[in-house]
Amino acid sequence: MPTKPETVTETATESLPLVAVRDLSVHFELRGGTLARLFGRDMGTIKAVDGVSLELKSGEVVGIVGESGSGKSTLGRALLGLVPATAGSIRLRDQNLAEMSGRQLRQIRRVVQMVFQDPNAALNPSMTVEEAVGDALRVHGMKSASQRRAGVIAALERVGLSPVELFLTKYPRDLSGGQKQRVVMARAIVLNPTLLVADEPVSMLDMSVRAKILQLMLDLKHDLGLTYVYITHDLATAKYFCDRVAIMYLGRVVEIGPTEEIFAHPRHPYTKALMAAIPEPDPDRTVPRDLPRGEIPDAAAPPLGCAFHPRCPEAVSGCGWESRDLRTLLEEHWLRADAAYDEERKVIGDLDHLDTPSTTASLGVGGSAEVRAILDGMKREDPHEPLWSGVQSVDDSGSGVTVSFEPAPSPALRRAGGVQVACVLYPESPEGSGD
Amino acid sequence: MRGLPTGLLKPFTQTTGLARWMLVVGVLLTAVFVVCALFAPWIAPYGFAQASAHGTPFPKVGHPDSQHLFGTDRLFFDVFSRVIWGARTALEVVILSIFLCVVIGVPLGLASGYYGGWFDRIVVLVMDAMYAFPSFLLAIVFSFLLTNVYGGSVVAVSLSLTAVYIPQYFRVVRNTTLSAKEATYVEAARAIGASDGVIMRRYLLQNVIQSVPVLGTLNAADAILTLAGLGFLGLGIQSTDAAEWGHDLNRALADAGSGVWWTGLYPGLAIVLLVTGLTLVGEGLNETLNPTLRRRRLLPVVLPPRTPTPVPEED
Amino acid sequence: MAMDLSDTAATAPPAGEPVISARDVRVWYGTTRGAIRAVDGVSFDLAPGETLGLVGESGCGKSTLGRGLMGLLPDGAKRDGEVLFRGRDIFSLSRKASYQLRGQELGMIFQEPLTRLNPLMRISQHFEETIKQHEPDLSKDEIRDRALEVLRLIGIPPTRYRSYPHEFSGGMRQRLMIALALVLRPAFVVADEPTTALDVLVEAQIVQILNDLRRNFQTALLLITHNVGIVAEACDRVAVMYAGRIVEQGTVGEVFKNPQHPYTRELLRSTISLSTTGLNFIPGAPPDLVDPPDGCRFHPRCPDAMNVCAGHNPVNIERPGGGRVECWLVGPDDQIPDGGKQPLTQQELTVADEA
Repeated sequence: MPTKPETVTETATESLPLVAVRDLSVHFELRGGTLARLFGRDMGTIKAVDGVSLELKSGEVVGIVGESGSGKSTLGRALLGLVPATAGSIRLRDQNLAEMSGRQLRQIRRVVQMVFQDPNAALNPSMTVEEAVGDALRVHGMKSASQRRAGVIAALERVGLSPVELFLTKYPRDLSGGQKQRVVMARAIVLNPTLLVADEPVSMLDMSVRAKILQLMLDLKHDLGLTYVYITHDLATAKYFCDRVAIMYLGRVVEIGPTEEIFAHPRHPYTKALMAAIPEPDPDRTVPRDLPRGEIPDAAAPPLGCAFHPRCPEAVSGCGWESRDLRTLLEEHWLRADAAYDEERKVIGDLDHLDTPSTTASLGVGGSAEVRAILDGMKREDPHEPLWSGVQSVDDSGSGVTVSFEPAPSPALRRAGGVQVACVLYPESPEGSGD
Repeated sequence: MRGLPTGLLKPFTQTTGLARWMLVVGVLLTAVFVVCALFAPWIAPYGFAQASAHGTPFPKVGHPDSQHLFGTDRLFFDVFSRVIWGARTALEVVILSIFLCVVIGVPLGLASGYYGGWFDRIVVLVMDAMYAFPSFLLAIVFSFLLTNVYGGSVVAVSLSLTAVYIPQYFRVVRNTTLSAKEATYVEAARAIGASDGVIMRRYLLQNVIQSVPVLGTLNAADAILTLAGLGFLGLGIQSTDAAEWGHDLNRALADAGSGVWWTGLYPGLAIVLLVTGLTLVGEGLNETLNPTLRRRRLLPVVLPPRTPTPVPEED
Repeated sequence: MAMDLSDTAATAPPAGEPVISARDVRVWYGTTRGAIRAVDGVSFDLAPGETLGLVGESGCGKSTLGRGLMGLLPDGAKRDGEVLFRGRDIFSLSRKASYQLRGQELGMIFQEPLTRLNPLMRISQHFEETIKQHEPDLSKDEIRDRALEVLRLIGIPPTRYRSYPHEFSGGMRQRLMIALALVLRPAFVVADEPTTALDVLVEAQIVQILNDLRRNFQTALLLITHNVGIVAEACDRVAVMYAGRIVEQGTVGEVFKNPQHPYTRELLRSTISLSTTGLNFIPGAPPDLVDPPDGCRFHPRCPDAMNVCAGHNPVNIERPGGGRVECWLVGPDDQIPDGGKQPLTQQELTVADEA
C-alpha cells in the first residue's frame, strides 16, 4: 500500500532555488460600462496577486492553498507566463519570465508545464489522445510523426495508460475522468519539463480515484525529478502531498512554511480557521463554533489594513478597521432577535455610503445624541468586539456622527517560529520583516 | 480524417422521426438536381442554346411532345434541356460562391474572434454594414458592378453572391470563436507552447465550424433564389451564356398571357424543388449538428415487475 | 428562538412516526442503449427533525433519487415504489396535488443557487411570491415579517431585503435558497449538494445553519452529497448509495466506526483527510447502469468478493449495531449455497477500467 512520501533533504549543491518569485503582482483592469469608459473613470483593478514572493527549490513540492479569489490560480498561470505580470519578477534559473516576449515564453514552456483542474475541459474534443499529447512535441519542432508517436507512447506508459495502443486512438469523450487526467499529465510530461504547476488536479475527480492520480504524481516526481507547485483549496491533500505550504488570501501570502510546522502549529487565524473547517469523516467531531464570519470580500475593493480582519475571530485594534466594518457590525446588531430594527433604522438612515472604503464613517440622520445612544448600546451588547478598540474618535457631525478609525497598513510577512506569517498578532523582528 | 464516412452518415443514424424524414427527402431532391448538373451533357437531349437538330429548326413555343418533353420556348430552345442545363448553372454558381464564402469568411471570423481589438471592431463594422443591406439589393448592386468587369458570367454572379453571404459565415464563426477561445483546452494549448496560428488551426477551427454546413445548405437555398431573381431581372447570365431558370422565367412572362404554360412552369418548378430540397437538408442537419436544438429524447421505459424483496422492518 | 411552531405541531405526525417512508423506489430512464436503472430499489425512513445523509460517488443515482422524491424528473423517466409522506403515498398523487405539496410540505435546495434565483426579482419579491403561492391570505406586512424572521435566522440582515440576487455573494445566495425553502416550514426538505460549489469556510457556515435550523423547525432533511466529511458533521444517519441501491444505512457513529459493507469501508479509506497517512483507492469504476453486473453490483471491485456475490443479489438485512446492510459477508448465512463463501477469482482491474 502506498505510504507517505519521503521529505526532501536539502543538500548543499541544491541550495540555489529553481524558481525565485519576487514581489509578483498581477492586476486585472476592470472594464466598466461604456459610459464609464467614455468619461475615463477608473473602474478599479482586481489585484489578483499582490506582492507575492516565493522560492522553489529543485525537487520539492510547494503547495499554494487558498479559497476562490485568493489568487492561487493566477499565480500558477503567471509561473507559465499565461498571464502577464504587472510588477515584480519571476526568475527561472537566470531568466526573468515577467520580461519575456511571447516567443521566448513559448520556449520556456518546454521547461514549465501545467496540469489543469477540469479533465473534461482540458482536452481538445476533436483530437485523439495521440494527437493531443503529440502536439506538444510537434509545436516544439518534432516534425517526424514516427518520432512523435514514440514520444507519446513513452509518456502514456509513464502515466499508466496501458495498453497504450488501446488509448492512442480514443477521443476525450470515450475516456473516464481519471483517464483524461492521466492524458493531461502525459501531455505535460512529454517534453520533459523541470517544473510542473498542478492547478487543483484532483478536485474534480471522485474520491476513489483521487488517490490514484496523486500517487501517479508522486511517482512521476520520483522518476523524473520534477518540482511541483500544487495549487488547491483542499488542505488535506496539501498536507499529504507537499513539503512546504503557502496559504493565500486575496492575493497575498498570509503564512508560509514547512508542512509539518504549519499543520502542527497554525499561526495565522485564517490558517487555523481553514484547518478547523475541513470536514473530517469522524462522527465525534462537530462543526467548530468559532468560525470566521462573512465571506471572501470583493477583490476589486479589498479591506483596508489586513485583508482578513473583517472575518477574523482574533482581530485586535491594529488590524485596520474601516467604514465597511461598521456597516457589518450594524447589520449584525439588527440580526439579533430583540433588535428594534425599524426604530433604529430611522435614526441611522441609509448605509450604502459606508461601502466606500474609508477610515472615516459618517452616519445617522436622527440626531447625534440618538446615534451615539445606539452605538453605545451596541458596545454594551458586545464589549469584546475588537472594532471599538480601533476607533480613534467619534465626533458629532450634522445630524449624526463621524467615526474615525486608526489607519493601519497591510501586515507584511514576518518570522514566527519556523514559518513566516503576515499577522499583527506576531511581532515583527527588530531588523524588519524576515526574508 | 478518419471517420469521414461515419461522420457523413451520422446525421442519418442519429436523427429520428421528423428530422430524419426531412433529411432523407431533402437529400433525394437535391440529389436529383446534382445528377442533372453532373451529367447534363448526357441527360439533356439537346444543348441549352440549341435551336435546331439535324438541320430541322425547333418549333417556336411548341407544345410538349415526344421530341420536346417540356416543349420549346420563344427562342426555339428546348425547355427540358434548358431545365437540366440550368441545374448545372445553378449549382456551379452556388457552389463557387459558397466555397468563396467559406474560404474567406471562416478564417476572417476566426482571426477576428481570436485577436479581438481594433482589427475585430473594424471588420465587424464592415460586415454588419453589409449584413444590414437587403440581400437582394446588395446582389443587384454587386452584380451590376461585376458584370462590367467580368461580363455576364458565372464568376461574376458567384462573386456577387459571395459578397452578400460572407457576413453570415463571418458572424457565426466569430461568435463561436469568442466563446471557444475561453475554453480550458485552448489555455492548455497555450501552455504547451502553441503559437496563435497553431491554436486557431488545430484547436479552434474544428470546434467552431459545426454551424457552417447548416449555414452552407441554407445559404445555398437562398442563393438559388437570389440567382433566379437576378436572372429574372435580366442581370447576370444571359440566355446564350448558360441556361438559367430565372432568366427563362422572365421570358416566359410574356407567354403566360397567350396560354403557354410550359415555358414558365418547368423552370419555376425546378427552382421550387431545388430550394426546398436544400432547405430540408439544412434544417435536417441542424437537428443533428446543433446541440441546443437536439433534445435528448428519453424513450419510454417500462418498469418490469419487481422480484419480491423482503421489506425492511420498522426500527 | 421565538418561532411559532404551534401550527406545525398540529399537523405533525405522532412522535416516532416517520415523516417519509420510502419503500422500494425505482427510477428508470429509457435511452437508445436500453433502460438506465438510476435508482433500483431504495428504501429508507426519515423521522421529524432528523437528517439523513445520502452519500455516494458520481453516477450512483443519489441526485436522481432526490429529484424522484420531489417529482422533479424529466419527462420520460419512470418511477415506481411507494413513498409515504405522513401516511399519504406521494407517488400516486395527481400532478395538481403534487404541485401543491411541493413548496408547502416538501422543499428542495439545489447546488447552484444563482441559477435558481430570478435575477430580475428582488429578494423581497421572491419571498412574497413563494409565500403568497401557498398562503394567499396573509397581508403584505405579515409576509414581510415572516420573511425577515427567516432571513434573520439564516443570518441575512434586514437591510438586504430589497436587494437583487446578484448583489449577494455565493454563500449568501445559498442561505437565501435555504431561507426560501424553509419559509413555508415544510416538513421534509431535500438538499442536493448544497455546499459543493462553496468554499470550505462558507461550507462550514452553511452546515452550521442547517444544523441549527432543523432543530428549530423540526424539518426532516435528506442531505445528498459526495463529501463524506460533511455527512459526518451534519447528519444523524447515513445511507451509502452505490449503483442505484443503498448498500448500507445506519447512524453516522455506527456506520463510520464499524462499516459493514466493503464499499463503505473502502470509500472511507480512500477519503483524504488531515489524518490520512496513506493513499488508498478503489480500483475500477462504477458499473454501467444499463446493464449492471449480476449479483452484487459491487463485486467486480470488491476486495472481499466471494463466489456467491457474483450470482446472487445480496439480501437487505439488519446490520450488527443497528441499521441495514446488503452484503453476503454479513449474511444471511443460511441463504448462501455450498461453496459460496469461497473467495471469488476476479479479473484484475486495470487503468482501462478506472473511473
